[in-house]
Amino acid sequence: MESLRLLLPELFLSGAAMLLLGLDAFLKERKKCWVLFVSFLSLFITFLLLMNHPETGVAFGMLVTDPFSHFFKILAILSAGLILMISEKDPELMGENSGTYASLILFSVVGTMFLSSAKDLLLLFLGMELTTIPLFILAGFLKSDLRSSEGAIKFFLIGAFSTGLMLFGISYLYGLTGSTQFKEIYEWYNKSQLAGADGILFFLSILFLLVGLGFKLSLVPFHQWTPDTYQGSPTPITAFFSVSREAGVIVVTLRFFTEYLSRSEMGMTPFFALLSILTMTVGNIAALRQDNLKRLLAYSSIAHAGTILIGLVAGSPLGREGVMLYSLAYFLMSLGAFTVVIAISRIKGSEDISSLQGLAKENFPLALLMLFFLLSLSGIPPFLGFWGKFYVFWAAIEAKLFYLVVIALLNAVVAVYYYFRIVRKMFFQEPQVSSVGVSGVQKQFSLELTTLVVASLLLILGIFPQGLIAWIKGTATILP
Amino acid sequence: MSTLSLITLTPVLGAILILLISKEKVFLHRLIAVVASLLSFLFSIAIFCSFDRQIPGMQFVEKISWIPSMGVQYFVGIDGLSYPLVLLTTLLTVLSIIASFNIQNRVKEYFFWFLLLETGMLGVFVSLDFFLFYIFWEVMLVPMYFLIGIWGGPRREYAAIKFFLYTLFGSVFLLIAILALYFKSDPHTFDILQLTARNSQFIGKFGFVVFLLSFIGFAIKVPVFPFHTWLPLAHVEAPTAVSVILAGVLLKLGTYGMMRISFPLFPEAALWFAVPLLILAFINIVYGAFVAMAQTDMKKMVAYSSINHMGYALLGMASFTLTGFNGAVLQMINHGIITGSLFLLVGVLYDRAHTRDINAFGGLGAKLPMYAGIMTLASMASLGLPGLAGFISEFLCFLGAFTSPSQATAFGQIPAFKLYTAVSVIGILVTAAFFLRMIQKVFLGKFNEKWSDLKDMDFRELVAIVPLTVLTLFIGVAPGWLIRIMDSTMSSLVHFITGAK
Repeated sequence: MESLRLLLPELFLSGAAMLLLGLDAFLKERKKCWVLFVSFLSLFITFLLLMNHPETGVAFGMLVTDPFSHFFKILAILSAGLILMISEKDPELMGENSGTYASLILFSVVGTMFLSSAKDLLLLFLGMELTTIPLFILAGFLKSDLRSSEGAIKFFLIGAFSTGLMLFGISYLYGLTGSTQFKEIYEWYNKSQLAGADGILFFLSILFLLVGLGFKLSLVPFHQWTPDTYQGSPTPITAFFSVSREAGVIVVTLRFFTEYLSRSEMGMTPFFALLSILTMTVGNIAALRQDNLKRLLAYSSIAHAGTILIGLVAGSPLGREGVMLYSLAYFLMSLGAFTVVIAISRIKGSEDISSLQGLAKENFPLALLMLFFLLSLSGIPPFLGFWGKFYVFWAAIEAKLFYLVVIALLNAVVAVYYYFRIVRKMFFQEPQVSSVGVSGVQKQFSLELTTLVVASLLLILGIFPQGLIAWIKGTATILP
Repeated sequence: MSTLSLITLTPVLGAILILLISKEKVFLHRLIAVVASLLSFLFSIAIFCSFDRQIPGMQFVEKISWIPSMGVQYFVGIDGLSYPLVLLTTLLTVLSIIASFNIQNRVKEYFFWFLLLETGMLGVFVSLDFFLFYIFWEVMLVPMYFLIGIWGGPRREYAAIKFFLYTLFGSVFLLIAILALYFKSDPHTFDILQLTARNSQFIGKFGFVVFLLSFIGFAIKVPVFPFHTWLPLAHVEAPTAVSVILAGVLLKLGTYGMMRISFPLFPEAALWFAVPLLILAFINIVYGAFVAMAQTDMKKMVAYSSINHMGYALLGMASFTLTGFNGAVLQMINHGIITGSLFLLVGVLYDRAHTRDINAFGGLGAKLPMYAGIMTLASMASLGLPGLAGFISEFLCFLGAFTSPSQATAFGQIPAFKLYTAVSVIGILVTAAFFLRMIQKVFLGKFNEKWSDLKDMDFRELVAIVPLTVLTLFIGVAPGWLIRIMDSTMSSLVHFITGAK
């Protein structure tokens, strides 16, 4: 009973997702607005449940409810709410199959919530699948669009492959240690001293696990699927990708590798550092030459994943706080940027950088908001993105990883170049004369509201970060 | 709210106000910009009398906890080093804004960025928390990027991004230095005063490395050779008023940073670096002067002369004597005033003739007597004519460097400081040559009939330039009042650095 009580938010949200799936079958076309209402309401109730859920504990011996997982659960719910908000007016997403669409998003969030609580390899696997399988469908939701299907197929194949690898690693680990619990694996590792063949096998299985996680986090060299999938997917889903999916995987990686298998004992710090450096550098360099906004943001999200990884390399509580702050900041700013992309593609019918040309003259507030997001993504103070970056660097310097900080900072300079390519288009160049709206500009109230809220959050939290940092410090504890 | 916060934050309030007013009301935007910057200037003048010239330490201090969990404070204050620079910034901003009234394109955005820029610059000068310092340092970049990129010359986009990336690259080193200092200090702090007081914790290899990191961060801003390549491009492409701010204030952020942070935090490394700094100063002086002489574009010439003039300030700083330090700070102020007026004057001519080519003019002296007079005076001040501001500070810098107690030698037995100081005088000679050549080619000689309908300066331009001209004359005749502001701070700074040896 205790275990069920701990899992109340997850259970409730799963129920709501099922209900939404049912609504699709029974609701008439014009009553589809109920879908949005139901999903918002259920997200809100889940949010309240989480907020009024101070107990911590372990459910079924496999799912740990601690402040750390709470943070990411709240993040996932917030992201789902905002994603639904920006998909609202899209006829292809929230049209005929709106119930399916909403319920898939909710299911994916439930997966993320499980993932952030997992302290068992089986639950890790389950959570991972629950997060990604709805995303396979969501990525291909634009059935008539060839790119969407291509992205979805790629994502599916890579996803299945990486899950296979991970499962392979898990089976080895189970064979070696006789358990799927993080804790017992850790105890076995401490006892056995990794002599002989066992040591090699253990290392191999960890490697398999890591490769699986690497695919999900789109770390270089496992990132090849990201740009195509990001570009092909419906834009709100692209925004959802970069947040919800990564958040869960990051938590479980942190939990498994820093809390249970201290990497310094296993000598894996250089390995993680190398992954981080590769991911940052390749992501940034590839982003330099992109002309499609979604593709550019996809590569930049790879680069950001690499930077977040620095907090993980540092491994300290400070690093964990950095990961949390960075994830929150990245979620807000990438969501904001993608929302602007949606708004622009509705007006201009294109997602190229050139569609932003002269935006400052045509629509100054929108250009200014986009500038805010780009400045935040570049890590220029006083926006929240700066604090995220600064915090992980802080943790890295504390852990004496100077070389990592130097490389990350140089990468940040490279990143400024491509973010400011967009700024240049928006502010320095004249609008294209021929750019008449494709289908008459609709009212975009929900988009305007979202960008405005997100931008002001970025700025206000950036100027007064104390409250946020104090909160994160309070929630960074992990239950054993 | 203390006076310093008022000085710093008034411009940004003005900027927000501008943002809220619709873009058609051009007059209102100009009015708000000028009022906000004028208020900031008046606030900074208001403490002129109450500023105690005997106290070497910080005055008008305000300290508010900002992010306690990271130990970051909103901590501001001024001393004899920063106060003159604050005065210079607020004055130059008011005059630049008046000089920008002829901007017709996107007026609202222009003044928004301009006021934001002023807050950034002032923030750097008054910050006593290293973290706050860094934030203002970065905040300043974005407005500058837009000001160059939107309202600049033909190659503005390239100049803007080059400036931005270059200075961002510099601040990378600065950020690492800040974090390294934070974790090295015990207990951890970002407070510049406390870091200075506890600088014995930063000796040895750590001190040298972090000193060099911070030095590179600041050197890019000055700019010290070989980090100067962003400067000519940015100065030439920027609109007139922005060039004034770039040369007048932004370059000083670099030298200010060295005197506020690099030197007192790492006295051991700083003294060891005296000779390399001397050589860099020498290169700046001579190289800057020669390259300036090769220019035919007046604005480019003034831009390169900035490299030369900042070299004098570096020379004074490298000496680690009271005379040299006073000279260096005075040179920063004088360069701001003189080069500021030179850029404004070149802008005046460019607005009328749409060319800055020295060879395109001739005999303008009779046609534009007022303009010719002011321009000649500013050029004379820039080349260091006695009786004008430039001479005093350049002389002090040379004197300081020449009398440096350093025992270092170059090429065998020759004392390094005496040698390099002596050779640096070439810089003065070359400066005189190119300024005189410009005056000759533009104002004297046969009148070029092409310019027969050129008008002399109008009232707005006079309002923007004459205060600087008057100051040039006044400081040249009576520099005492300005030196007295900085003297006690400089003397304690020199003792602090050399005493630590």
